[in-house]
Amino acid sequence: MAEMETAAEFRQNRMAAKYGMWFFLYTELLFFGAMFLLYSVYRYRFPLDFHAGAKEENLYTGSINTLVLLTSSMTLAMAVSAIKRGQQKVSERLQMLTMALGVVFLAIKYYEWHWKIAKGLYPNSPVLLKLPKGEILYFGLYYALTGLHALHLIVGIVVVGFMLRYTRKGVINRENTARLENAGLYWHFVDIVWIYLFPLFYLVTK
Amino acid sequence: MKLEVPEGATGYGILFFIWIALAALLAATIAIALMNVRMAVALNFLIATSMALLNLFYFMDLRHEDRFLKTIIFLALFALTSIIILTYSDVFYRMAG
Repeated sequence: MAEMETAAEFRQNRMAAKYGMWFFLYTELLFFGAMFLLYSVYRYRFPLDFHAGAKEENLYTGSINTLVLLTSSMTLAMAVSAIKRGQQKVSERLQMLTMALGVVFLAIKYYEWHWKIAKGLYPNSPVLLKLPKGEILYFGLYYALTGLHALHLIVGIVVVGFMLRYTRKGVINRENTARLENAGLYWHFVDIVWIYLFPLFYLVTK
Repeated sequence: MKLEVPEGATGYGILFFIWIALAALLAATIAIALMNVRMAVALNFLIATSMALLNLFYFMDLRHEDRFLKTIIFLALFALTSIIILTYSDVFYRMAG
């Protein structure tokens, strides 16, 4: 009887952890949703300026980055699947690969930002302030949205790093996968945010 | 020895197939943007939503979650859609004035 209660409690805790993560993601959805709304309203008001601003975007690096993030989502989903099968080493390698892909994404994003900053296109720069109002808004939103996304990805890499440590220690195992599953939910959400950011900045104004 | 897939663990093959589908959708959305197809913006966002749904249902495993969680997600999306509609009605009203 005592064992049954423990199993029920374990299941309840697991559900509570998952619900907590989903509720956190809802707040994130509304946070990014408001930012997307801001972008779309200003784009509606300044279509030509946004079109001119988007010409600075590099479709090649944006596409590569999207593929990198999609691949990282697959590897983390596989890491969760592996731990559920009891394949600890496989899960560890897949978690490491996920973190590496996250770093690749950030490196490409750094290159993009560096290229724009070298051209003087950064918030409050003399070059940017000479441009039309719509273009100033475009680059402000570009840095705000991609910056916040990158910040979320950095948090994701750190979280997966902790999950890797827990997996190595055996805290995350075949019976106890909730932490890794929740880290996966967060990572996939960050991937979904990028899925919408990609057309907003790299495709819509082509 | 045949490896059994435990309950709740999505097969590697399925996850790889979903990745192929996502990569194909990514290629399609880039092609649409480059070819200046009519209604390209709407198509790009339709493809983005398809990609997000694949991610939600397979990578985030929403298809195995209970009705309560699915309802809450629907409510969150409904709230966001309402905010978008209300904001745009305000923007259109001001611009018309």
